[in-house]
Amino acid sequence: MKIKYILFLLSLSLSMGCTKDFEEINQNPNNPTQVEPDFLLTTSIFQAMNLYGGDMNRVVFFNYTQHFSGFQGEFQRYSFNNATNSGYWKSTYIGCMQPVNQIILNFKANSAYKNRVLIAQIWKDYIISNAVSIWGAVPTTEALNGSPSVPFTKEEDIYYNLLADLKQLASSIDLSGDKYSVVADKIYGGDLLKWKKFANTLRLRLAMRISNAAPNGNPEAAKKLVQEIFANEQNTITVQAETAAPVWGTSSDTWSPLYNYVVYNYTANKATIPVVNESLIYHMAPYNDARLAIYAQPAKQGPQLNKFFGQNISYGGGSQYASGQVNPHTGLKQDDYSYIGARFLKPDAEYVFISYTEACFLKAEASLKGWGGSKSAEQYYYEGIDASYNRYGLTSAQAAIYKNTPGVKWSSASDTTGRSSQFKDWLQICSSYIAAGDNYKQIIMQHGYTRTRRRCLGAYQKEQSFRISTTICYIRW
Amino acid sequence: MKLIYALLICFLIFPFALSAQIYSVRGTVTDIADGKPLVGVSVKSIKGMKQLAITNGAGQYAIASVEAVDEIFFSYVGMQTVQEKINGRAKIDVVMTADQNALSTVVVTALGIKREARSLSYSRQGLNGTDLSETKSPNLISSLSGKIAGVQVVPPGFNTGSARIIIRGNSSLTGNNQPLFVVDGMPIDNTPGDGNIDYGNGAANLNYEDIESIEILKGPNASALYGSRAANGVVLITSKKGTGKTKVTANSSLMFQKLTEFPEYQNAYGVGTSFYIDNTHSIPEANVNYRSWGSPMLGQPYVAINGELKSYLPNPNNVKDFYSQAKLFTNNIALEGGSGNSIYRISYTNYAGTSVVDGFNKQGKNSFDLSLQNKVSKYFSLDGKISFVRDRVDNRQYSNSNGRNPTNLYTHMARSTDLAEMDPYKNAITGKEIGTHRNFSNPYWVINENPNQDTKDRLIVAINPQVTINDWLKFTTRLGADVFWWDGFEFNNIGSVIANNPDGFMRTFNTKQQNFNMEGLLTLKKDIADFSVMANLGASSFRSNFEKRDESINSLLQPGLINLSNAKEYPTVVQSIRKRQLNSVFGALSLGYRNYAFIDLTGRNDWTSTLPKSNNAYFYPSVGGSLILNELLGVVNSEILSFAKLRASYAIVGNDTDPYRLAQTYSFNGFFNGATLASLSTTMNNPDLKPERTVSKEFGTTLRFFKNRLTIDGTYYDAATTNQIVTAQLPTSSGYQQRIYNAGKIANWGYELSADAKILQGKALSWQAQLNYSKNNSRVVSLLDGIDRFQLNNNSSYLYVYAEVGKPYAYLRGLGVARDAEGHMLIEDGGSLLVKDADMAFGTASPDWLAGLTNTFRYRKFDLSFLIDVKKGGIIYSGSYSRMLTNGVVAETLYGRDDFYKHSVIFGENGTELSGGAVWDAYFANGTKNTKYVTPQNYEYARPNYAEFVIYDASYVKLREVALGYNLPDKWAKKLTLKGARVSASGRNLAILYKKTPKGIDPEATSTSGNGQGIENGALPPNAIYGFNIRLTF
Repeated sequence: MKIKYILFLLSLSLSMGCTKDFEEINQNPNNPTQVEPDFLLTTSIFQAMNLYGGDMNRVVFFNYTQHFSGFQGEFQRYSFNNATNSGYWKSTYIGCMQPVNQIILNFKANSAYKNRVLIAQIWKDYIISNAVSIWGAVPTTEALNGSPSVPFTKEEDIYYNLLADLKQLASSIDLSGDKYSVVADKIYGGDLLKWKKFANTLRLRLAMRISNAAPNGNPEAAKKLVQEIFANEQNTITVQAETAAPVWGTSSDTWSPLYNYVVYNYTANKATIPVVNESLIYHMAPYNDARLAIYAQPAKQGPQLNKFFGQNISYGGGSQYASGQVNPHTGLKQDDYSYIGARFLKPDAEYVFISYTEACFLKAEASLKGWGGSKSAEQYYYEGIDASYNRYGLTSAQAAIYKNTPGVKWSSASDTTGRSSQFKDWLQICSSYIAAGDNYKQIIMQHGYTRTRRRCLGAYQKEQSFRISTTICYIRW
Repeated sequence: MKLIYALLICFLIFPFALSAQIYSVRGTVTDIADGKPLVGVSVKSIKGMKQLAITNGAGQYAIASVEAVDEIFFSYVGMQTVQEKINGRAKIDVVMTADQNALSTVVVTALGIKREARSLSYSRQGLNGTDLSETKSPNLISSLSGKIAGVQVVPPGFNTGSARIIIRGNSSLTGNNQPLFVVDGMPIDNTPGDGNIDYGNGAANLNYEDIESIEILKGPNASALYGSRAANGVVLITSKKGTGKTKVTANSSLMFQKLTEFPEYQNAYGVGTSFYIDNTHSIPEANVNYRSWGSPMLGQPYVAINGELKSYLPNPNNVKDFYSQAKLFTNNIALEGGSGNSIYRISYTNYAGTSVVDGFNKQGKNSFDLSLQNKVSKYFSLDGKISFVRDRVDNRQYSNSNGRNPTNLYTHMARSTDLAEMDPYKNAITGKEIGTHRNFSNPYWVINENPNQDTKDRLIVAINPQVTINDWLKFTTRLGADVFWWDGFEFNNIGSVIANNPDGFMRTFNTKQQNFNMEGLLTLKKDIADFSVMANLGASSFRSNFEKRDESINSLLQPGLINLSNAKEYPTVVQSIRKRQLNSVFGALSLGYRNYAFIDLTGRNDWTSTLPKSNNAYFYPSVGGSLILNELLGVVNSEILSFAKLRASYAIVGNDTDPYRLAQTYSFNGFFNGATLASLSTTMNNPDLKPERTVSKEFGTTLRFFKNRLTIDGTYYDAATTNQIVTAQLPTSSGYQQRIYNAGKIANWGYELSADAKILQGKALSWQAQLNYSKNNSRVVSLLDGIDRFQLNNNSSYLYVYAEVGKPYAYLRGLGVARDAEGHMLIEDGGSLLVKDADMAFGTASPDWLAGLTNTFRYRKFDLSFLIDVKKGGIIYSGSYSRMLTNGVVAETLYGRDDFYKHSVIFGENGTELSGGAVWDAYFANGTKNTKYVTPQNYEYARPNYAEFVIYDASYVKLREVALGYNLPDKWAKKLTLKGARVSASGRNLAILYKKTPKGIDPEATSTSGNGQGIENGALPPNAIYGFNIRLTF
């Protein structure tokens, strides 16, 4: 009798599992171990748009360049806390770089993916080139491998490595080989030639960035590189359609961060809505730059209704100036100023990584140095202005008027007629005043206004832990 | 000292043992309860504790020749020992009575094995269900606070939130540190539910009314038989069973909950900035600024938040009025009975609870519990227990710094704001939220427009068929299941102006978990001559399947419709499945010699599915011994020393890991303009993981004096965990955020002391006191090579909680003010800005020591007990208080305000001529003292930026529990046809007798039930529960 019970219980016990299916049990049922390179490229591009075109743009770059103004925050007060900086650092490496790095690691050995691996490398180099301009020395060669201590590469070496690498990558693209799908490649829709041009234009950008005298650059090396690039000028960006400018989406998880902040979450962010900075308006208005109406919207309320009216960088200030003049900014809210142009506040706005406009100005700068090019510096300069006007849907007639304005017209001085000496001083502080014959400055001002923050000009500066790169600042404008 | 004294007496008594004659004795031993014979009672001589006989199946014993014995005693598990002088008698029949203090005699140990407490080689402590149920906290874990030495409880933020329980410190650097919960042999899920919404921990589903007892296995030495799951100790819960007598018990308790303490507010300055309300409108408006830095409140006209023209006056009770009294109502009815071989108990409990924030955390819990004991035949019995809980909570409160946490109200609301201005909370035309401060949502909007709801159906089943092969061998099987289905939604209506979802948001989740445990245990129990042997050999298999499906939509089509189809865009769907299995074989051998010397050996081998094949099998041994000194020395009847035991043990246990931590994977992250997004997991997995290993040593003694009236139990333990499976933070340039390693070592050592004194034992009046004291020290010995800190938690970038090499666990660091050599704060030139010390060491959140003192008085039919719970040491960062400083709402922020107002606003002084206001008590680098006046507003804006100004000693002395009861005299009860009746009044957390945190900040508050303790952020102020309880037995 009891045997029966014992047998019953024993058989129950024996029905307990053995260990042979343990490996199967521990197979992750939620996540794949391998994904398509298409998915990873899209991810990296999307992450880069959100990183550079997101908070970093709003609170750092455009604030420091005095394109935007908006009260509150660490960077706006020229400090930052580590958590925010670490957030940017994390997006750079984990969000932007790791996906393309995975393409390289997983498909490098497979010749069927040759071009896709090359493009992944070009894109990774682009991210590194931004990282180096923001932070100086950063980890490159030994990054992304999960090591608890990641050595940094010297800033100087990063530039040389990138320049050498990009040359190799651009020339290795097989124009009849494999490519990313049209839908996955949000920048060029899989167009291999455009990627080749992207790589070469990026080389030009980096070469010009190291064109200053030592210790901030290496003019000899830069010259050699530029000449090499000019020798193959047809493989740089030469037309508007080659501008690398993907657009955000219209769903809440893919729309533009600026739209999300300014429009979608307007009520919550009411007090810190970024508006146009007065420096930008004061710079553009005297030249009657038609792009002002693109960059800014007239004030919709307040004392400067229907006018372009920018917020001052000191966010209000005291109610009276020393001389007893009333501060026109006293008591104003963000809504009393010019909003950023509608083009930039759309959910599916574009984000520009490298533009045709920039390519023209880079060439103008190089040509001015006498480093070659099929056109003169003046021709490239006007081509750049035309490209910019064209980009924003302005007519060539409007561009022509602008090109003829003193201070914009090649080799002409800023028109300061009728302006007070204080205003001229201010222009000089802002470096918007251009003396006759100062062609370099003219190019820079068109190129990206913001490169006037002089410390950004040289590539190899090591003293700042967080540097704001001109490269990033002007790419969108 | 007392021990030495006792030993001395032992030695004095020893030589006087009497000589004896030769007799022959026999008799029968029966149980007083049912008159049935007791089988297996051991009969021993007092002198030398020599075993003379064991009763047979009919309860009979016979001692053939009694040489040199004049007194014998009878002992049996669960019964009071009986002593008989032979006095020449040939037949001695004995009736044994169940030990009143049964818990201290026979205890449930690992794997449900019942053993005599005296034979254990480790310290043990347990609780009766009745110790818990009268002053119950809404979370079972909270009710353990102060009652067990070595146990630290961190209560949940809300009644429905997650509590944390830690035994003897944190043994894992980054993993789970909470003990395993086992109900009637079935390991149950106790996952914490922290997050934006705190869903509560699993053990909170257990029902007080159905708990017979709780036994705490404090760490590896006691819990070694649980192997992989033993490192943090085990909480063994035994459910109530029927006794076989028909009885109906009805219990009803109505408790109230109220906040007992609020921050000390200032009532002089109202909403505004720089001493004006708003300088842009001719009649100032309340909603231009939002902090209490405005002008003095003198009744001047202003436009309130709701647009009404009002007098600018203080509203001293605006925060207080927001909170109300919560009700916690519990009703239980239990029926027990049975006949012959079948005994049952069936119980139903209904609990309904609300929150001090009216409208939040409405909980309704229905528990059914069925226990069956069935003796099928002489050899086969079947015990079973099924409990089913349906726990539904409506409107769980958002927690911590979440903008929807209404507790933020007390940190933000301007002193001039009348609570009535918050209502209406919704614009009747646009449907949008109104009456909002800038940093938090209108609380009435949150309560009414952001419903959430979840229902958990949980089934815990434990079935134990048992075959008694003969009187010394039996085979037990345990089949257990812990299954739950948990569904819910979270909804944010369209129109919120603060939070990130102005177009609304909705999420639903469906979770199911199935844990199954099967165990077979062969138990041999035999006394052979002077030796008692207990051997257990078993095997078990534990399987866990978990699946969660989560669907969310980021914008709604139409307000108010709580349905996933109300989606303006595609939903995001996540499915996560987790499966694991653990197989084990184990054995335990306990050898006793003459019932005063014991040796324990255990061994367990585990095979886990979560580790790589090469490392998935591992063995854990333990060894222990104990010696009952007084019996060894023959001192059994001393007036002073009643019992003296020494014990020591050594155990190795370990831990496996979570599933899927070996291979690297990607995840899909939705779509971007028609293309798929995918990314690599940001945690770098480790294909070579090994199990964690904890080595623990424990020494202790139990001493009883004065006929057991005083019991003292002391323990020293020392445990270290190596090969930790840590999730280490990586620099993100490594391409990952974290990586899983086998590394690091953490050591915990400390003392535990518990004393139990029956001070008065009169028939009418009795007084019993019980003290628990424990001191745990911890040190992080090593992490990874070259890495000396892991971050466990943080509050923005002001404060970080670390596991740091060389420091106790949970070490707080953050922004402080640099000091000069004399310890003065340093200030930058100009006198406005303190010099930063970015990485100031503040200390540990872990307490120095914990203590609990329970006093129980009985006077005739009345009884009164109270528990004082003490925590000494440990620090806390208060995020709430930091916001209260910035917002200028607390009295502390009045510093310099009147003075500054007089000099700056009235006298018009500015710049360097300013001679009134706030001054930093700091020195310049050159050693001169700062005398510069700054605005009080800037002063208070700056302070919270330095974490050190809002770090407090988290010590406390709390009047944790008070219960006053009255038992109806039997004759009265009989008249009412009752078997018994009891009424009681009780309270929890009625008073904080000592604390160092500012008023309104509970030193026990926490932002997480996880490892990163030491941060308070948006927690409720201290609150108390009090009410009545009636228990009737029919």
